[in-house]
Amino acid sequence: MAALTVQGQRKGFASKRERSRLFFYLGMFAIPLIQFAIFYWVANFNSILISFQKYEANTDGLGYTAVWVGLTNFKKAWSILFSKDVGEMVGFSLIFYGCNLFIVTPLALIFSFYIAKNYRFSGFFRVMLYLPCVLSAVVLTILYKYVVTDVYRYLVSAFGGGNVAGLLDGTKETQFKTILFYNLWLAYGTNTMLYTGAMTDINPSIIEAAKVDGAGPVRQFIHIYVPMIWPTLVTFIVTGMAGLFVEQMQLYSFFGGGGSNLFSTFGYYFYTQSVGSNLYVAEGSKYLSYPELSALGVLITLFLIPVVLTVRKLLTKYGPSVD
Amino acid sequence: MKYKKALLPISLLAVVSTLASCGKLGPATSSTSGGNYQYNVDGPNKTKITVGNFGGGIGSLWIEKAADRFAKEVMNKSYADGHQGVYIKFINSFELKTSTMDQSNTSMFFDERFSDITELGQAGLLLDLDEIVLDETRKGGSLDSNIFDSVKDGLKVQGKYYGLPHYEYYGGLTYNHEIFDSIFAYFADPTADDKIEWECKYGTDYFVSDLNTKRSVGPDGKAGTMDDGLPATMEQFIILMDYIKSNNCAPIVISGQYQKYGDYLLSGIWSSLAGTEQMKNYYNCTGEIEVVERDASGNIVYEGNAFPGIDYVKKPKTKKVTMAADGSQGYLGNDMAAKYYAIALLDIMKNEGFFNLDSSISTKSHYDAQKCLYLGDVSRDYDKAAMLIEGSYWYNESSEMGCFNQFEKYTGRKRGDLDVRWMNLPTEVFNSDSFEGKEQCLVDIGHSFSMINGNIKNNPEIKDVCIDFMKFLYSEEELAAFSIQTGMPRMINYPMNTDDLSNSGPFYEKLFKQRNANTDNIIGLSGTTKVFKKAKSIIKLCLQSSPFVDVAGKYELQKLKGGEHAPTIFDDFSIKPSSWKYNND
Repeated sequence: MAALTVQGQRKGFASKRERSRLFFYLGMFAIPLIQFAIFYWVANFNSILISFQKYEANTDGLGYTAVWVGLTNFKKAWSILFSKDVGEMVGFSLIFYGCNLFIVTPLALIFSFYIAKNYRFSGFFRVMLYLPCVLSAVVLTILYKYVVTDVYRYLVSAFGGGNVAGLLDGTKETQFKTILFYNLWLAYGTNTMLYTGAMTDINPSIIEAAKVDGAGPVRQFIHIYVPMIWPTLVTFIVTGMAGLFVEQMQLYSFFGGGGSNLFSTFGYYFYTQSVGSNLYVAEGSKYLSYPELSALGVLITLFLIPVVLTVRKLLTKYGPSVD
Repeated sequence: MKYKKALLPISLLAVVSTLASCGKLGPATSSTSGGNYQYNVDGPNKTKITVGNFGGGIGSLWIEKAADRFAKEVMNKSYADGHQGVYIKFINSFELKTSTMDQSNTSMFFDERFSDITELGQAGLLLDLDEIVLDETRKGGSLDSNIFDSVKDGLKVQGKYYGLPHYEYYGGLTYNHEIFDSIFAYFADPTADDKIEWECKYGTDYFVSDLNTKRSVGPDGKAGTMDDGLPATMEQFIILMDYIKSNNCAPIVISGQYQKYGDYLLSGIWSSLAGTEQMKNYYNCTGEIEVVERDASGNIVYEGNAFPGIDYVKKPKTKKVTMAADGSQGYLGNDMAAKYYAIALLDIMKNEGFFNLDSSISTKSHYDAQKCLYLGDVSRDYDKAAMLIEGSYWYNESSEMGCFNQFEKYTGRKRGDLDVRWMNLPTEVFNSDSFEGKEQCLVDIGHSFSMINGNIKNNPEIKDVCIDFMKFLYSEEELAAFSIQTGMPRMINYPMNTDDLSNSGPFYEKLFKQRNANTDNIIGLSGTTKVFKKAKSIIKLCLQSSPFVDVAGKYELQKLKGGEHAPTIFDDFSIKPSSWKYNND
C-alpha cells in the first residue's frame, strides 16, 4: 500500500514534470511552426489567392477593392514568361547551371576527394576554400568588381596595353563571362566544402576494406566516394534546377538597379520587378503588380515541379550505388 | 591544425571588413542625422517626431537646419501635458517605404518620385493637408493661392490636398562654361564676319573665332539672352559634339555606374524639342502633339536618314494629331516625334564616340561623372568632358558630398569661381531658315512631395507638431531658406532674392534666373483628366520611369549598348493602342 502510494506520488510528480516538459517542447516548437505557417503557408496561399485578383481604386472614396479577374494575370504572366527577353535571361541562367553542373561539380568532387584523403596541403586548401564563405557576398562581389574593372585597367595600362575598358564594361559577352567566372568560383568553394564534409563522414572501415581489396584512389573515388555522397550530389543538382528562375548571379550586388548590366538573369529581373512593384500598377506599366508577379511565380512553380521531381526520381533511381 | 589556428584571425578580419564596408555603405541607404544643433536636441520632456527624408538629391542639411529653427520657435510651447518643446529625428534613406507607412512611426515624409500622392492618398495612408494649404492667415496668402496651377491636381485626391510640392528638378545637360570659352564652342551669328567654318561628316556650321564674335540666337530664337551661341537644333548639337571632340575634349560624360541617367537626357531633350504646350497636352492625354506616322500595320514610316553621316537613325514622317478630349488616345503621347529624336541623340552620342571613357566604367559613380566635368582638366583620376548628363540637383549633391573640396585642392580656386551652367537644349531637330525657336520647357521629373502619415490622425500631440512643422516649412521665409540652402526651387510662389543663391553656388543663381523668367514653362506631373490620374504612372517622365524602361527592365542606354538603335528602341518603348485601356468614366 505504501509502495503504491509512493508510486502514485511519483507518478503524479512525473506527470507534472512531463507536463512542464511538454509545454516547453510545445513552446519551442511553436515559434518555428508559427513562423513556418505564416511565412510559408499563409504567404504562399495569399500569393496564389491574389494571382486571381486585381486591385482597383475606389471611385466613391479612398481605398482599393480586390476584384476577381480569373486568369487575366496568368495570361500576362504567360506572355512575359515566353517573351524573347525572358528566353535570353533563362538562357544565361541555364549556361551558369550547365557550367556549374558539368565543370564545377566534377572539379569540386575531385578536389573534395583530395582534401578528404588528407593529401598534402589539404588543411591549407580547406581554410582557403572556407574564406569566401566567411566574407559577406556583397563585400566579395564589390572587391571582385573593382579588381576586374579598375585594377585590370591599371594593369593593362601599366604593361603598355593602353586605356581600355574594364572586363565588366566591354561587350555583353565579356561581362557575362566575367560574372560567370566569379559565380563559378564561388560555387566551387561552396560545393567543395559540402562534398568534403560528406566525404569525411564516410565510414573509414569501408575505405579500409576497399584498400584491402586492392582499390586504388581512382577506383575508391568512383566506386566508394561518389556513390556514398550521391544523395548530397542529387540535392545540389535538384536545388540548382529548382533555383533556375531565382538565380541572380549576384547581379544586384554588382550593379544594383543602376542599369550598367548588359545582360540579365530571370532572378535579377524578378527581384527588380518586385522592388518596383506595388499592389496597384497602372495598366500598360512596365512594372508588374503584385497579383501579376504572383501569377508569374505560380506559373514558374507549375513548370518546375514536374521537371524537378522527375529529375530527382531519375537521379535517385539510376544513380550509382555502393554495391 | 596550424591552418585551423589561422582560420580564427582570418574569420575575424573578414567580419571586421564586412562591418567596415557596411559602415561605409550605410549612410547611402539609411541613416539618421548626426549634426550638432543648438535647439533640435533630444530631451526627456520634449514631444518627439520622426521625419523621413529622401537621402539623395538635395541631401539633409536643409531639413536639419530648418528643424533647428523650428525647435527654437516652439521651445516653450507645450503640445501635451508635461511636454515642452520639440525634438525632430531624421531618417535619411533612398527607400522610405511610404507604401507601408501605416505601420511606421515616421510621421512626415519628404520623398522623391517613388511616392505617388494619388496612390497613397487613395489608399488612405496620408493625412488630409487642407488645414495647411487653405490657411488664409498665412503670410503671403494661402498656399493654395500660391502653388503653381500646373502641379495642383497632382497633389489632390478626390478634391483634397494630401501632399505639398517638395523640390523641383529637371533632367538635361550641364556644361563647363570655361571649357566652352576656351575652345570657342559657340555658334556664330550668320551675319558675323569673324567666324570659323566647321565642316565635318555631320554637316557644316560656323563657330565664333573669339569670345567677342556675335553669337547665334540659340534655342530660344532671341538674341541677347543667356543661351546665345548654344546649339538651337539637334543638327547643330551633333556638330558641336564633333567640334568639342576635335578639340581634344570628350563632349559628354554620364555616370558609368548609373547608365539609367540616360533618362535625364531623354526627358530634357524630349521636352525641349516638344515645347511647353505639347508637354502639357502629353500629361493631360488630350490636345495637339506631333507624332511619328505609322502605316496600317503599325510600323513607323521613314523617309531616309535623319542626319548626314549617320545611317542608323532614320527620319520618320511626322504629323500633328489632336488627342481626343476624353483621353482615349493618350497612348499617342509616347509616339511623339520629340521622344524619337531624344532617343536618337543618345544613340548618336554612344555610336559616334562622344562619351568620355569614364562613362563606360561601371565603378565610376555619379560623383565621379560630376568631377569629370570640373576636374577632368586637372586630375588624372578623371577623363575630361565638356557636358554632363544629370539632374539639376547634382550641384548640391556634389557640394554636400564634399566634392568641391577637391576642386579647391587641385585648382587653388574657390568653388564659387567654378563656372558650370545648366544648358538650354535644342528646340528644333533640323536647321531651317524659318527657325523661330522656343522658350525652354522645364519638366519636373523629381516628382518630390511632402506628406504627413495618416496614422497619426488620432494622436493630437504628434499631429499638431507635424502640422505646425509643415506650416513652418512652407512659410515664405522657410521656402526661401530652403532654396538658398539647396539651390532648388519649389513649385510655389515665394519671394526670394536670387542673388542670395550665390551661397549655394553660381550654378543655381543662373538656373533660377532662367527658370523664373517664365514659370509657365515649368511642367509638373499633373493633369486635369481622370485618364491622366489613372495613367500617370506610365506616362510620367522621371529617372527609371516607364516610358524609358522595357518589359525586361532595361534602360535605353543598356539597349543601345546591346547593339540596338533608336528606331527599334522607340518602338519598344511605345504604348500600343490595345494596351491603353483608360476611359474617362
